[in-house]
Amino acid sequence: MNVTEPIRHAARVTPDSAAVIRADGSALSYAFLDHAIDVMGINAQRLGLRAGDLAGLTVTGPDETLGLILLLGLARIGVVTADPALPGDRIRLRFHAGASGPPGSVLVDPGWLPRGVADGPKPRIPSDPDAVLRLFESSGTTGQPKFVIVTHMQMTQRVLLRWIAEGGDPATRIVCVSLSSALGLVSALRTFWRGGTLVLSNPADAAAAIAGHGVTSLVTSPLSLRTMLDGMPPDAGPFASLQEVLVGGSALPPRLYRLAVERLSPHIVSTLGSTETNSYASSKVRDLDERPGAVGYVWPGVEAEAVDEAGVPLPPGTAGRLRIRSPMNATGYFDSDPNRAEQFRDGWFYSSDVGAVWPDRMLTLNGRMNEVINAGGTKVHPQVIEAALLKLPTVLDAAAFGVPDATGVTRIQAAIVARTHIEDAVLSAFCQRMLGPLAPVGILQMKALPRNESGKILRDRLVDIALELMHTAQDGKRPA
Amino acid sequence: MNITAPIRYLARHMPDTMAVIDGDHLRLTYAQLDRAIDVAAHHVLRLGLRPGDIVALGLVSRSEVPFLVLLLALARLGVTSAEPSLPPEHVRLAFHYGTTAPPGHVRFDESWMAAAFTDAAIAPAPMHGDETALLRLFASSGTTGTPKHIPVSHALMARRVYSRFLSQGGGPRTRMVGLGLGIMPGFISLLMTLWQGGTLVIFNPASVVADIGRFGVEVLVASTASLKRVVDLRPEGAGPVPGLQLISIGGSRLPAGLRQLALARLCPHIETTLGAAEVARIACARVEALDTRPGAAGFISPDVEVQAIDAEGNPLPEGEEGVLRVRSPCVADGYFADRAATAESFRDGWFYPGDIGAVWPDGMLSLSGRASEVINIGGDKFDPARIEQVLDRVPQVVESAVFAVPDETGSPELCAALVVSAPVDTAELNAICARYLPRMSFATILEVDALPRNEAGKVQRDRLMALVAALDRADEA
Repeated sequence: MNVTEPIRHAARVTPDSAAVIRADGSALSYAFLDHAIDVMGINAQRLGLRAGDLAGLTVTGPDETLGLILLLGLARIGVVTADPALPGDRIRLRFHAGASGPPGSVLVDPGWLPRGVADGPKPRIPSDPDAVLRLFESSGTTGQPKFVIVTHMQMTQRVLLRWIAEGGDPATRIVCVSLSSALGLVSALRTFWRGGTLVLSNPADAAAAIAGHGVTSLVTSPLSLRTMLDGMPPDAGPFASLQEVLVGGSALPPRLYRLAVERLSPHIVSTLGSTETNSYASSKVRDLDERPGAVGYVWPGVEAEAVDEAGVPLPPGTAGRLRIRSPMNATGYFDSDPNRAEQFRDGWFYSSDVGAVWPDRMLTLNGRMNEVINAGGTKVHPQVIEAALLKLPTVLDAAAFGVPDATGVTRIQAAIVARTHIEDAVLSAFCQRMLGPLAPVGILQMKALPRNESGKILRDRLVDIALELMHTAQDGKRPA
Repeated sequence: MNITAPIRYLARHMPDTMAVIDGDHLRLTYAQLDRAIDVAAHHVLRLGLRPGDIVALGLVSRSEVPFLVLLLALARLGVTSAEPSLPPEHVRLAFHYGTTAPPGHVRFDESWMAAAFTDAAIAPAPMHGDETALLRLFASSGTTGTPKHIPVSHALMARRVYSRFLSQGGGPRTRMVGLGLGIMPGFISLLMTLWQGGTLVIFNPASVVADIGRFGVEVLVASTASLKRVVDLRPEGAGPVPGLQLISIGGSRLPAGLRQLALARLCPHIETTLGAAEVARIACARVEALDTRPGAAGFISPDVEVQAIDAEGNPLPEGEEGVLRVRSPCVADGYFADRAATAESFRDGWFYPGDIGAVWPDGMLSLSGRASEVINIGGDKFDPARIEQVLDRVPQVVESAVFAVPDETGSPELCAALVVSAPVDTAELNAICARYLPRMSFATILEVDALPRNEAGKVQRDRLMALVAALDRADEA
């Protein structure tokens, strides 16, 4: 089945229900959404795109509606989408939703949308379950982003198992992660396939949108959750309508959890997964027990095991590298090199998480096998940050690491050794330009980086130093 | 995935949510249901049953919950259950509900799960993980001839539940299932409820209306026969039952008279579904949507492909009538131990249900009859469903079935069986019929209390034919 087929079905069964509420408050019906998906597909065909072609497209603000409908339009005609950052010349066309975009990209403006709903016959939707839907970008363990191949069938399984594991009620849902990320797209489809309503909102206006539209479900990452809570007016929330706040991407810090319960809803769900596997364990946070690192029960239909270095399954409750097998698993990595293929073997995905699966299928997380920083759901390898910092001519050495902030959300920080001191404003502006959202929130300037005897950077030491500085700063702010 | 795995997950995720309610007799939360399945599995293991064994297990009246628990316990262990109509040579042992069992049967009853609440020493049953294992041999709802059985694996059943998720809105629901839980649509309805953390309310004919109110039933799944029983319980002039949001009717065409009564007395939202045990659900629609086109059966489910083909097997353009075939992830591989029937109905990945119909550009499927039921009278071929639709428009007619019976010379004559709410004049019926079928009139019109239907709710025209033939013989004598 093509993942847009259930939207066609909803357009027949509930044509006038609101599928999307845009940031300006206007609503798009299922009949319109389905027609707009067809029109986007036809637009793409006029540009010469055909089933199996690869098109660059990412869905972020300011107009998520256009990007989302284009993504679905391309999916409907069998065009594979990928983040435009995909290297090489495999991408036939790069799209950009907005008035201006990177050179060489096709600009998509509101004129691409139809004016209304058309009657009459509709184009047939091709149905090849093994066709590739999208190459989702995933944080690389080597500093290079990887592109994860997900087919229509795998995405279908991701939606269906999520209905069992986390509920299939028709929802009015806000999704605070990119709609072209694996979690974002699965959340949008989970909504549309049930005839629910997807509410698009800027994170700053999310609180108003929740109240205004009676939102029942919020999908977010710890970092977006923190940003949203910070921006909420003091008198807003909690919201009685919110039946589910699903926090994916990384472990939910206890302090942030308590804040979310206080300001949003008691129904906070933690979920563990990755682009490669989809979420595969979840639980209401209030039902999690005392086991350290408990994240949730492994979903039905999913095999999850901790294995030792030789790949032999460990007894229940023993920590090891987690491997996951289910019909939701991605096919593999695009342009996969042999080192990366190590992660996809015999139907299993070998994750970089270290954890244990208990006899009652509770999964606990004990750490990661590599140095990837999981900054509240945004995963980045330190090398990416370090390589950017080293582009400054006076920087001799650099190290990036994650430090929990006051609510426990991990933030990216860095330490550098520079020939001469660099002004904070200069550093900050440079990082913003080079790294955007990945820019470190704090940069220490040091005489030398702590390293072990073999020269490996001691990131734990750097984390301790950063925490010490944070506490000193807070003490300083405390009124006398 | 073992089809009981979601129940174990939900037993941890929402242990105290109500899973099954059987009136005042029994209520099970998800934690208790999961435990009851494990305890029943313990009994099954002590009988020496192993994965791959086939056992006979059928539903009898008032045995719903013990039946359901044993059915799921067998599934959890990878033991295959079968309708008792399966020939005994294929069956390792047969279960019988009650305090005593006939020779050769193993009895089971409520006591099989009683230990769920008392005996903590019974370990959780091992969850059979091979999803290609056979779950159950379902009886085919064929309306004539010897019963056929359809092997359905755990994986196939999971795809069928998923398909139902996709064709029907609504998440966790409190659902009352007025269909046999061991037949295909009943089994899918129960899994659809229990996989989503909903509540299954057992259909108890005596207290059904009260139960809908007491237990907050939102969806009533019924056959036309069980719907009629519920409608009859409502006094004339009664309004819809509060709280009931949807009635879902499967198995057969919903007659117009019954539809009007159900809309007025039970629920303003009724959907009808089309399906077969060989493919699960094919199409579904609210009854209002069916008025747009004669013979409309519903919108084709999102993951189902239906084609009308011509005599040469070529797909016909949209809107043109032909023999229907169906392809989807839910099509079974064939019939159990019946190669000839399999070869006839399952070809090249398609299932041929034996219906004639058309697929329309808006995704609607319309039926104009069954290829095998076409009545041929003196060379005039027509389809009983067409005439039944005409008869159903007569206000007094609640439901009807049309069939042909050979006269003393062997030439078929047109007959009808009617369920009526008030007397109806034969001449009037013949006049109405003549408008649509020139030179045609009914040789026999039977008024009956109820149409004979099989477990899935399909009218058994063969039984009506036998009844008329018997009456004719009695006349001669």
